[in-house]
Amino acid sequence: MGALIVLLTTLFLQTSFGPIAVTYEPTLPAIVVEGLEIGQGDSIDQRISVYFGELNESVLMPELIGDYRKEGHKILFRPKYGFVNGAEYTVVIGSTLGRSGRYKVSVPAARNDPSAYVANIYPSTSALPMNQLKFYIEFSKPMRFGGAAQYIKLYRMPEKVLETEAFLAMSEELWDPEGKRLTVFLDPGRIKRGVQPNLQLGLPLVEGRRYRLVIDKKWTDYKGATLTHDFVKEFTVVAVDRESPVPDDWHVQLPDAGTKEPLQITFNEVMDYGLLHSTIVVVNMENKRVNGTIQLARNEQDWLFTPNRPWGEGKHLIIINAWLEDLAGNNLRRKFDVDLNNPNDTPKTFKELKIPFVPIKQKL
Amino acid sequence: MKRITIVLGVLACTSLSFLSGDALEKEAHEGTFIYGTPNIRSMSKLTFGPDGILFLGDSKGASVYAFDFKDDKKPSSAAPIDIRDIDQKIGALLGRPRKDILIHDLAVNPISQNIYCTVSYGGSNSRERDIFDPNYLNDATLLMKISPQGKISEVSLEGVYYNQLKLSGAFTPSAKWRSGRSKNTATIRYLVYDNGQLYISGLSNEEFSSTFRVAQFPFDQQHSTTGVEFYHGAHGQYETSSPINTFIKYQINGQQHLLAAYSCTPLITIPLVDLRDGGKIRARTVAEIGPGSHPIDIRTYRKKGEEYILIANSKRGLIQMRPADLAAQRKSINYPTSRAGVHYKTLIPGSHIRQMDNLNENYVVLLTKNKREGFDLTSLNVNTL
Repeated sequence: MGALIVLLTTLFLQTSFGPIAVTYEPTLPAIVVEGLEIGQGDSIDQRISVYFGELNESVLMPELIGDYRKEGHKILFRPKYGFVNGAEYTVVIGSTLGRSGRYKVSVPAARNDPSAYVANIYPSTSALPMNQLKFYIEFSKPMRFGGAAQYIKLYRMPEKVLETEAFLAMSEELWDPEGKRLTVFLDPGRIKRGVQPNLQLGLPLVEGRRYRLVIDKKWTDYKGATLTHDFVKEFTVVAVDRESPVPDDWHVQLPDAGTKEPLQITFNEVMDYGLLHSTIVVVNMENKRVNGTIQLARNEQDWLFTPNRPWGEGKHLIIINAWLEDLAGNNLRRKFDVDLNNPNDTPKTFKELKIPFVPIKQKL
Repeated sequence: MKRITIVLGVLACTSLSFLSGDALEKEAHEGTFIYGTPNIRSMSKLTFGPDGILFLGDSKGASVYAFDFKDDKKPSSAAPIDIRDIDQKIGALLGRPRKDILIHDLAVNPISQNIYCTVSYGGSNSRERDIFDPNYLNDATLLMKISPQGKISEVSLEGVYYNQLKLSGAFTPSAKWRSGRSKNTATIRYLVYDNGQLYISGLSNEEFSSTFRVAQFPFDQQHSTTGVEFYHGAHGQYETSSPINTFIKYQINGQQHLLAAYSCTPLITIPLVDLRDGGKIRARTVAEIGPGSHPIDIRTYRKKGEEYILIANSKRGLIQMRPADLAAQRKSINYPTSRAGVHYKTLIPGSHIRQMDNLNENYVVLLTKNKREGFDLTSLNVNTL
C-alpha cells in the first residue's frame, strides 16, 4: 500500500509539473529552464547549477558564475562574462522532491566566415635572383600567430615537387606589430657560400627553374577564421646577385615646389619591399622630417614619396640608411655574401647616404 | 602626516585608549582610503602590505592601488595547497576555455593565506600563455582569490575601500620598443612592500628608463624616482633601459639593500641609502645566472634556523643562494661573462615555473606549467629543499 502511494505520488508529480526542458535561447541570450517549480523560500541557485563544458565525475569543477532570474514560468541563466560560441554547458537540477537531472546545452558555433586573404607577396616581381633572401606575406587582416610554416609551401615546377628545406625554421615568427605582415627568410645558411647547409644542400632556388609559392587558405586570422582562398605566386629564378646596389645608377625625379607631386627615386634594381618603407626619410631646409606617404611602383624598383603638405623651397635631403637592401640582402654598405679574399668586398663605412635636392621653382 | 593627525583626532573621541600601536597604523591607513570603484586599466603585479592590504599595479594607468578587503583572519591550519589545472578551473568559473585564461601574477596574503591572482580571460593573439612581462600578452581585468581550502572566487572591485598612488614619469602609449609594443606596459614590473615603504621597479621616461620608485604607505601622493644602471656580463655592456623583473629587500653585510634580477639573468644589489629622488645609481652586479631566461620571483625561507634565498626562473628552474655567499661577493662583475659571481644551487631544474610566493613558514607555492598545456598550483615544503 505504501509503495503504491509513493508510485502514485511520483506519477502525479511528474504529470503536474511536466517535463523539464533546458535550452539555449540565442536572442536573449540565456540558458532557459522550463517546467521547474521553485517553491516559496527556495532560492533558484540552490536548485540549479550551471557548469562550463561537460562535467567530469573525477574532477570537481567550480560552477559558472552568472545571474539566475525567474521570468514567469521560466528560469533564465546568463553567465557573468557571456557565452562562448561553440561551447557546451551542463545544467544540473537538484530537487528536494528527488527529481534531479543533468542537461547538456550547446551554444552554436559562430559563423566564422572567411574574410581575410593574402593581399600580396613581396617581392612582386616574377623574376627572383638565385640568392633571393626573403619574402613578405601581406594579409588583409591581422592573423593568428604561431604555426605559420605549415601554411607556406614552395613547389618546384612543373614537376610540382615540394621544396621542404627552402625556408629558415622560424623559432619566432617575424610579424609586424599589427599582425598583418610576416617576413619569411629563405635559409641564409644555404645562401651563404661555404657554410655547411650551403655545402650540403646548395642554394634553395636554382637559376632557370620555375617555382610556385602557395599560401594555404587553412591559415587562420586573429578571429580563427580561415582565409578566403589560397594565394599563389609563380616566379622564375635568374642569376645570383652578389653586388651591392649602385647609387650612382639611381635616378631622382624632382617635384615642383608648392605642389604635392611625388618625389621619385628609380633604383638600378628591385629593392627590398620592407626596407623601402623604413630606411628612407626626407628632411627639409630646417632639417625637419617631411611627413608623407610612400608608394612603390614597377615591382619595387621605384620609390615615390608624396608629402602631406606642398613641397617647400630650398635645399632638401633624402637620407637613406645604409641597411637598404636589394632582393639578395646586399645593402648599400656591404654584400650579403662577402668574399674575404676579395678587396672589393670590404664593407664601406658610411651609415647613411644623403642625396640633396631642391624642389623645382615654378616659373611664373 | 596630516591625514594621520586627523584620524587620530577622531579616534581620540572614541576609543583611543584601547588601540595598540599596530591598530593605530591600521586606522591611519584606513583614514586615507576611499570607498568606491577604482578605474583600473591594466592589472598586473600584486604584493601584500600590512594588515592584509593588497597592492595592485596598473602599468598602463601608471598607478598603484592599495585595497583593504578586510582579509585578515588567520586560517585554521598552515596546510599546503595543490590545485591541478588551476587555469582550467578559473576558466570553468568564468565560462572560458583554458587557452583563454592567462594568470598574470600571484601573491599570497601572509595573514589569511588566501592566494590572489590577476587574470585575463580573452587569451592572446599568439598561442603563447607564459607571462613574464605582466601586460605583454593581454591586460588582466580580474582579481581572483583562492582560499586555503581551494575555493576559487572572483574578488569584486566594485564598492571597495582603496587608495590610488599615481606614478609620475610613465611612458606615453606612443613610446614603443622595436617590436611595436608600448613601453607603458612596463611602468610597473615588480612591487615590494617593507616597513612603511612601497618599492616599485619598472620603467620611466627619464634618461635611465630602468627605475625604482619608492612611496610611503599610507600614500601621500609622492614618490621618489631613481634611475638604475648596471653592468650586464652576458651582453658585455652597461644597461639602463631594461626593467627589473623581480627583487626583495635584503640585508647584506649589515646594510639594507635591494636584491634584484633582470632578464637574461644578472643579479644586482643596491644599498637602500643610495635611492635618492632624481638620482642615478650604478648597481653592483653580484651574479650572472645565465642568458635565455627570465627571473620570476625572489623569496627567502628558513630551514632549521638558517635563512636561504630562492630565485624562480623561467628556464633555470628554482635556484637557492646562501646569504653568506651573497655577502662574500664584494666586487661587481664588470667584464663579459654569462655565468659568474655568487654561487648557487639548482633545487629544481626545468623551465616550468611561472610564479612563486611564500605560502606560510613551511611552504612556498608555485604556479607551474603542466603537460596538459595548462598550469598547476603546487606547494613545496621548504624543509625538504
